[in-house]
Amino acid sequence: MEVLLGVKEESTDYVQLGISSSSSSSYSYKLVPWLSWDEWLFVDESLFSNSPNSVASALRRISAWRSRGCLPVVIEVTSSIIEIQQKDPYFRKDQSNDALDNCRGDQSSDASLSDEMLAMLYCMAIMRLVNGVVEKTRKKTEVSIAVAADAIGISRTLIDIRHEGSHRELPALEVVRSASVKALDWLKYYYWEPQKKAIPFHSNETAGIKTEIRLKFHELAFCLRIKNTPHLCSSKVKEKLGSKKDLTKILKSLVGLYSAFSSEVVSVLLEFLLKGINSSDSSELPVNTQSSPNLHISLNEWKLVITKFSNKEPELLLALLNAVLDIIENQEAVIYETGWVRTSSDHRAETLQVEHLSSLFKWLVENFEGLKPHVEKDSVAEIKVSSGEKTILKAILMELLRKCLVLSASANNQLMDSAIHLAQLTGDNYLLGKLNKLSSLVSSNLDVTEEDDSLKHSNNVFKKQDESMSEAAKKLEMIKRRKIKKKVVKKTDADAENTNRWVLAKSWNQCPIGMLPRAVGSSGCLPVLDLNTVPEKVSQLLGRKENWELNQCSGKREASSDLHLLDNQCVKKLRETKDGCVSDSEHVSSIEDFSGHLMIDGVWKRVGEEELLAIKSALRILI
Amino acid sequence: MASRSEPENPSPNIYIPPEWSEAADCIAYDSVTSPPPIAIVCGAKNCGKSTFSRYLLNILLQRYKKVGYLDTDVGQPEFSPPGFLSLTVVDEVTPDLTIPHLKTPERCLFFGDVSSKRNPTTYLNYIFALYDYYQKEYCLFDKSASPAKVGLPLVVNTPGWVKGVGYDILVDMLKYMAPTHVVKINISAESKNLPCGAFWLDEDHDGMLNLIEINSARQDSFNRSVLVQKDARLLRDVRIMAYFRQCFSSNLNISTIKELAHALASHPPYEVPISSIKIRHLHCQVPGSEIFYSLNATIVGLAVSSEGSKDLPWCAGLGIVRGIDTFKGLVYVITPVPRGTLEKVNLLLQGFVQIPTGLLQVQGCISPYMSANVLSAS
Repeated sequence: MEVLLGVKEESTDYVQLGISSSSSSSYSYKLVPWLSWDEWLFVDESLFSNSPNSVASALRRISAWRSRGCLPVVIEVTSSIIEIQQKDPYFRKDQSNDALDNCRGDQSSDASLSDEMLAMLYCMAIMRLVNGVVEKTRKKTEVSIAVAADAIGISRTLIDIRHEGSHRELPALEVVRSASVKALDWLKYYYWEPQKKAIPFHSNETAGIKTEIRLKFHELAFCLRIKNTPHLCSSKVKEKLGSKKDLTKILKSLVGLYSAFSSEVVSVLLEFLLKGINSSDSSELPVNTQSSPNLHISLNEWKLVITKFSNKEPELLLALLNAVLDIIENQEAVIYETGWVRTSSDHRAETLQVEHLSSLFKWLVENFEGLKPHVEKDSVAEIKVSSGEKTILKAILMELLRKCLVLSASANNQLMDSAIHLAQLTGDNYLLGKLNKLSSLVSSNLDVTEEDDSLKHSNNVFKKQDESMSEAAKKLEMIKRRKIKKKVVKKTDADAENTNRWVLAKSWNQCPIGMLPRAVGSSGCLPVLDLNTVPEKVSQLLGRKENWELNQCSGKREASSDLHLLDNQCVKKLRETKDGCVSDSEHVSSIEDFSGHLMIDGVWKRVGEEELLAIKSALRILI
Repeated sequence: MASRSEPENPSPNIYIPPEWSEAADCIAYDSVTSPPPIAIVCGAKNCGKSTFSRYLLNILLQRYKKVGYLDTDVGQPEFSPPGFLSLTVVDEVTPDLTIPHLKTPERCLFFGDVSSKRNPTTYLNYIFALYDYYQKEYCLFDKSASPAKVGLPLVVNTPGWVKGVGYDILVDMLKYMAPTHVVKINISAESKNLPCGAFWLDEDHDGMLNLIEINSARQDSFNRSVLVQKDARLLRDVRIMAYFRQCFSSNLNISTIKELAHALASHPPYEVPISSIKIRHLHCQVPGSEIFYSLNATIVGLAVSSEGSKDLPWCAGLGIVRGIDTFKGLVYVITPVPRGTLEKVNLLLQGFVQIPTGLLQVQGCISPYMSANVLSAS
């Protein structure tokens, strides 16, 4: 027998392979037209809302679903009935139908459908409801449609309309109109409400998710504690909680949670870490607390949790690194803003916090370093090691490095150290050399700082810090420029052959079909599919509010949003940049690939790379 | 299955009855070479149309160097993945008749569904366009310029939908092509067969015509046709997966669906600027604001809008839109179509050729469109 794909055509072979292409036997998963339950909930909410605009947007989304070819019949019929009702003056009352007409563009303003036509439409929808739904549930023993319909609670009225409409006179408009209301009620009862309840958790209930995440992390922590301190608990408890199976299960569900709610997971974990830091501050608790069933989990235990978890989901570390830097940044800002008026003890506490965070950061970097060979080894086992994974990873590391450097300019040794580690991870020796020099420079500054500490914030220190900061920025710019030059050379080589639209992605990390790749790991992140987020519009939107915004519509490929990949909610991120300093959140390499436009005094102006760099570094020093 | 397995028979499970070989020989050798034979094979579902067409192709290749193959069976095409209508020029004998093989067609059009019922008119127009192309390229020679040139014989395989609208479509097809030979395969269940005689012709027709009626290859002891029931959906999925298997070198060890799905999930896709392509749904009205919701993670036909006529753009193959990045303004497409051909592709045609769910379920990497917690009621 000829082998296609190595898989023989016989269905028995499929069974042997444990794969079946029919969706029914792939028991728990089903092909759906929506990307996420959020999307489904959006439709559910809008479809039954009172606002014609909301209803119209739900109907639009359902047409997109229909075009994907796997729309459940219950949704199809619901949307038909609602669309017909929107055409019916009786339901429309006085409300304007503009919204609906606008969305279903080409349908002429058919406000004046005759009663017969309306009745025909209603009748057809009801027939499709009865036949479509009953056909799916009808058992072999139930000969009559009425019996089968009764079994799933469809009202007798609807059954009769189906019968009358197909075989006898077309039922009157009044009859089918009120039946349409009944039909919708039944659809809500039969599908929309139970389906809503069957969704695991809704992301608009962020609190609920966070609780869930907290719970899982606690479980994991205790699981690990029991595992690591065998003498502590009886074997019974151990069996109950600490078995390897449990551990894998908890880890699995956490990975699942992370893929859906990465930012929530990161924030919960940070919350725990900070708590851990603070408590280890006040009273140095030993790791193996003997006062057994307490809920306190020490920092070290959390670190163990992170190690375990990041083995499964390496990207977590990058996300955490980023988040920790953000916190340090905020703290530093607070220290500088309030440093003058506050008492020194307050000030000290804050600096201490920064110190702890920095050491945490350092630990995370080391952890990531330790993880990296493991990650690579793993991906070798996969079909192809994507060199792209490394490229994206490098871009993200560079971004972290940049942030780290800026922060370390305020004489933060640990961050400086971490920066060097990060540079090592990027594998760029030149960069590493430069950083080492910079680090010695900074530490010499540090001596001065310590000497002058008693003088509080003397102008001298500020000056020095300013200098070191701009020094750091300058050096970084230099490094960047060098990199850009290298890239430009490469680019022109490549340009010769791929001037066209079909370009093979240079970097690609495994991710599910329908998603976009993350920097590390293969969980992928959900794309934003709204049309109005297409770059031109985004930049226009931002441009109005921002004086300084790189125009992204030059159409060429750029790597600026690599960090977005870290965040599941790309939109949120983008919106945040509106009020933040946009160019600072732009990626190091964002200016590499395109010479952008700048909105200057409300006019888009083309600006050269050099000018952009100048503006950028100027901005950074201002901060 | 009573197979006559002779050692030299390359496809032991295929039984070609004498009646069939006579019919094929008659088409291949009875006529003069110019004009070349144009043979349409028709009959009810599962009666063996494809097998006979393949067999006929091989017989014709004994006399002709090249043979054209017009595939109108959009659900289970011979040389292309489902959803395509295509004209293929075959120049080598297919040794194995059991399974269709993928070949790069000479010309193909993406109908975007597995049955003509969604849009019979367009379906017919596509077929006519392909037939016209065949006529223009392979039959109408300037006799004085190249008298030695021999026209290309053509085998037309048809879908098994022979009742209702399907019948009307078949009649229109036969009328338009005016074939030299029509092979009608009958099965024992009379009611499922096509009408007797030259059913497509008006009474006053008197053209040259050979109608060959044969029976399906296998009968049981009661002379009932043994039809090979196929799981059409499964077959389609296998064809699509075999098509995308071509993205990878045959050296790579990818032989199961799982391995293929895994390989596809990590395969670097083409990135295409959204602004440089058009997106069109062949059968649905998709609101402008919803195109990406409609397009993401679907199978599309890759078409060249500048070639062929405006409504019938020639197609280069299939692609999977594996992701859309609206921030970067890129669509990511996986396709085995070679780079050179791709450069011209500027139109993505959406249809109802569904992506096999097996490709969406990679362990630890399950597509968001495969959802758990779906009510069975839906």
